[in-house]
Amino acid sequence: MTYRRWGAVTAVTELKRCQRWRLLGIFAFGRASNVLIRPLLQMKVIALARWTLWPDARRPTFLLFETNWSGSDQTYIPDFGRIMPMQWRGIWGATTKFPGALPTTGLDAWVDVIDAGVGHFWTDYDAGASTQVIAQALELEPQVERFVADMQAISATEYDRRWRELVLAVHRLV
Amino acid sequence: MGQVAIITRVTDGREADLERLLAGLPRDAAPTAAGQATTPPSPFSGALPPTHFARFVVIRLERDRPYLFFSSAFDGDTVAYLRALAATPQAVAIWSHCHLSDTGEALSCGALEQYLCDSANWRPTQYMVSAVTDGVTVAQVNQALSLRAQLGALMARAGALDPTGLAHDFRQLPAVQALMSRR
Repeated sequence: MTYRRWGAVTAVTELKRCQRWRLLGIFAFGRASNVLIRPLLQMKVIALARWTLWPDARRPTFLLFETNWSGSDQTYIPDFGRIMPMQWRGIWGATTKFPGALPTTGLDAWVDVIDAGVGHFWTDYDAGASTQVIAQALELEPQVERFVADMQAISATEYDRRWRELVLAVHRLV
Repeated sequence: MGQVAIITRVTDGREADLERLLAGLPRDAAPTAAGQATTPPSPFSGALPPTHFARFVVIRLERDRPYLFFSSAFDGDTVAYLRALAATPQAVAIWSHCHLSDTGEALSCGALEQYLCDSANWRPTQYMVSAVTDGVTVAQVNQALSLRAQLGALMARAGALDPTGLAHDFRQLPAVQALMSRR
């Protein structure tokens, strides 16, 4: 793992035998509902996570896991393990040498071993963006759009009052 | 949001060269005490349709053999994205280290395009989680980021403005003008 504007891990793990249905079931559930991943999304740190079976889903022998996040690489995996130990067991319990999510020191050390890092990585998001800032910006925009729509042909005094309301409503997003 | 993953065998003996090539491409620098470091753009930024996140990495799979793993989450059509990728000299240089055919000929843009655009070479992802809702584009994210930054700056100096000046300055914000032009 290396710290950049966006953290990146590419973890490659070998599967135990006969884990196909277990993983396909978990992934199907994950696609149908975000209940399993919701605690992680609520941290507003993770930007992307992707699980791919290799060589294919019919007879998988390896699990590839990619993730990007913004923040400290010292805390991302430990936090991930601490808030979602059951999910880690569900997925990586299907792989060889998984030490368990807790204690997170063992998990962190294991991820260091299985992480291939990135040879080259890029994103076209503006410099300085982070998962949290992007979430704030996307939440802010419709509120400003409504403000713009409501501000047509009103007096300066009324504008001033509405502006103060806007500031109060969105200051946590700016 | 489109996504694609392609895994290609690295030619025997070329792994170290490929890793050096990838490591030599411009990449984000670590932040310093003074803040974000200046980040040179990736050669793929701007040459390809907008990319949320993409990576090249050499991984080891069966029998510890090296493979090139390319994956991307992007806006638009997958084939158009991969065509644009194949047209870059850097992509040709990268995949030239891989085993694409038995002919032994030097890899051309056309041959790379044919390989990348063949959906039989795409590795379907079983599960993906993204903080950016599906359907939100890179351009929309960047517009929202601009609006947030400009509004924050205006808020910081709004106390010094009278209502008329505030309304004027608000409407002059480029991001607000972009919002108004969408109406």
